[in-house]
Amino acid sequence: MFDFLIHSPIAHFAREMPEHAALGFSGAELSYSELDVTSNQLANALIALGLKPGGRVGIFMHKSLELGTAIYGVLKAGGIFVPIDPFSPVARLQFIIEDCGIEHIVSADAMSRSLSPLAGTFTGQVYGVGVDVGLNTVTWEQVATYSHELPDVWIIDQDLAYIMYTSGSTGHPKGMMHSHHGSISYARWGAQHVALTSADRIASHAPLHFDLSIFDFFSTSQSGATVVLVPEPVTKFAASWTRYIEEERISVVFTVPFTLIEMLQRGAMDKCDLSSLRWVLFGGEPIAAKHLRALMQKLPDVRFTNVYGPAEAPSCTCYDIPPFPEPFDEPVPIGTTSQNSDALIVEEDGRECEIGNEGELCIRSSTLTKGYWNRPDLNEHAFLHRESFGPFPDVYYRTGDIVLQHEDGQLRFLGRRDRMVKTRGHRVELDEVEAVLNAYPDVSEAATIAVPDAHGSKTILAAIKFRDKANSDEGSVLKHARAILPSYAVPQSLHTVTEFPRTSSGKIDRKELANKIVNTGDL
Amino acid sequence: MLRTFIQEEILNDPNFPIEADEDLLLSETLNSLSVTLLIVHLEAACNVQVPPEDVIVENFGTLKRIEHYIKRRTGSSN
Repeated sequence: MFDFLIHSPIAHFAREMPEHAALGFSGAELSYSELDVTSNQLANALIALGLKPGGRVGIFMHKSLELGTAIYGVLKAGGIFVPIDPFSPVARLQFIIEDCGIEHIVSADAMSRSLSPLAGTFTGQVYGVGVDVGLNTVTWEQVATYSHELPDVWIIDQDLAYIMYTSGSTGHPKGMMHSHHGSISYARWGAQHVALTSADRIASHAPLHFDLSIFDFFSTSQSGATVVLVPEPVTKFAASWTRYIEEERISVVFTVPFTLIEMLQRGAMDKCDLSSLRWVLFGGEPIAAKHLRALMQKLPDVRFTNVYGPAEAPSCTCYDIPPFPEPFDEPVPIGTTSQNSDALIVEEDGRECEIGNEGELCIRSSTLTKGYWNRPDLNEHAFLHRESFGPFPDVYYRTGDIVLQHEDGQLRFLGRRDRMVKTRGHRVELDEVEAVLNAYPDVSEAATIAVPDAHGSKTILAAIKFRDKANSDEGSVLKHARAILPSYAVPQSLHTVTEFPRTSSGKIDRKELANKIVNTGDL
Repeated sequence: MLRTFIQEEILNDPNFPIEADEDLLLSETLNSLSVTLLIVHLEAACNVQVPPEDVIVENFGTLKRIEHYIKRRTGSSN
């Protein structure tokens, strides 16, 4: 039906069902035929102004209907789109532009405060901007004067579709390269797993620079469905978000556990008609079983899937939560490998683990990244090569995640390799401590960190958010932890927080949390 | 009072400019962490209860909207 490129379905559905909505945003819609035309015009504008196949194009804007035009316009021009967090500080924006060699940026008037500081250093083109920011700008009206025919560009599915920057341990973000082939694998996995049809309306809750958005946009377009963009302010208010699900008749959501917990606790779900919702996928970090159970009780007709996969190898394993889970407080499994993915679990010395032993999960998958942009140092260490037949070895991505494989084939996530610390000579999984604290009924969320102590070892500290102020007894939580954990793994102190600092993708920002505890002694 | 609280307690910058109609979330003046802090503060300072279903963009998206909302709540029985 389609060609081999991730943007091919747009032209297909523009022919097959031209009036059907490709994108929705706060009540407004863009049909497949409109998206096809606007993205062709942008592609032609990009080419006319110098973009060559393989050229990188920054996408720097908040959620809007133009976001769809931007993504598909870049791809149709043979370019590689580079999502940049619209909340990025200027220094990070500049770093990505320089590191990735970006000469074209698709943006919006609303970004003028962030774009203006680029004047004098960025000499490329900025599209979608009509206000004076001291840069070479091209308005949407000007873009609309270009041809609405698909430009003739020769690229193949091995070529890159997008580069996604994520935080790097050195303090500089690192860009993961993903091909059309990998993107299609991810998109088709999602479309098939959830059995998407053109009647589905998939929420795009995650920001574009977070890899869940690849499912949102591309699994949707594989199916001729509608991706409904969630405005950023709505994502910050749980009750606005649940109401958005109702108003926009959202049927499928892929988000992080934090969003689901917020929905449960502050989303006023009982006051909304959420009957359109049929499938919730979540990933990014573990969810406490008690929250998932409570959510499943509130949404008995909705299916839930835990999706695991670092941005380097998205959706490489998943676990469909059984319809009526027994009360359990064990961490939710990450399931079994997805089709076209292969797991290898290795000991520290690189030898393959026996079933039942824990080790680092390494992944070979059709969704695998082609490596980090401009970072040969990372590319050398992030991948494990195993001899295969012929001159090409099998390449696995070392996830840095410690897992355990059970006899039934199910994988359990135990923690990050770099979240394994030594305290007073004992090895402790910080994520395991966190899971124990999270299991306590009065605890809403918990985070553990390790800070250096005066003896050259590490001290474990924990921060806790209670469900309600009336039941916030730190002593009871410690008693619970002491009853389960070995004494050396029990946090030295607990800090009660009203809310956790979060990363832009909604995960707990443990680095910021540690800074706060260490610098202020408290929160 | 509201502007001062956001400037001093949330942003740690008494001179940070905040317009009455500015979208506090899009300008990143507030985020989900600080919205929670703000509501805890408002509940204590204005002696109101803010039910979860009221914590929405329409009530908390801008300074003006927050002021209207609080005025409405303190004017009504709660």
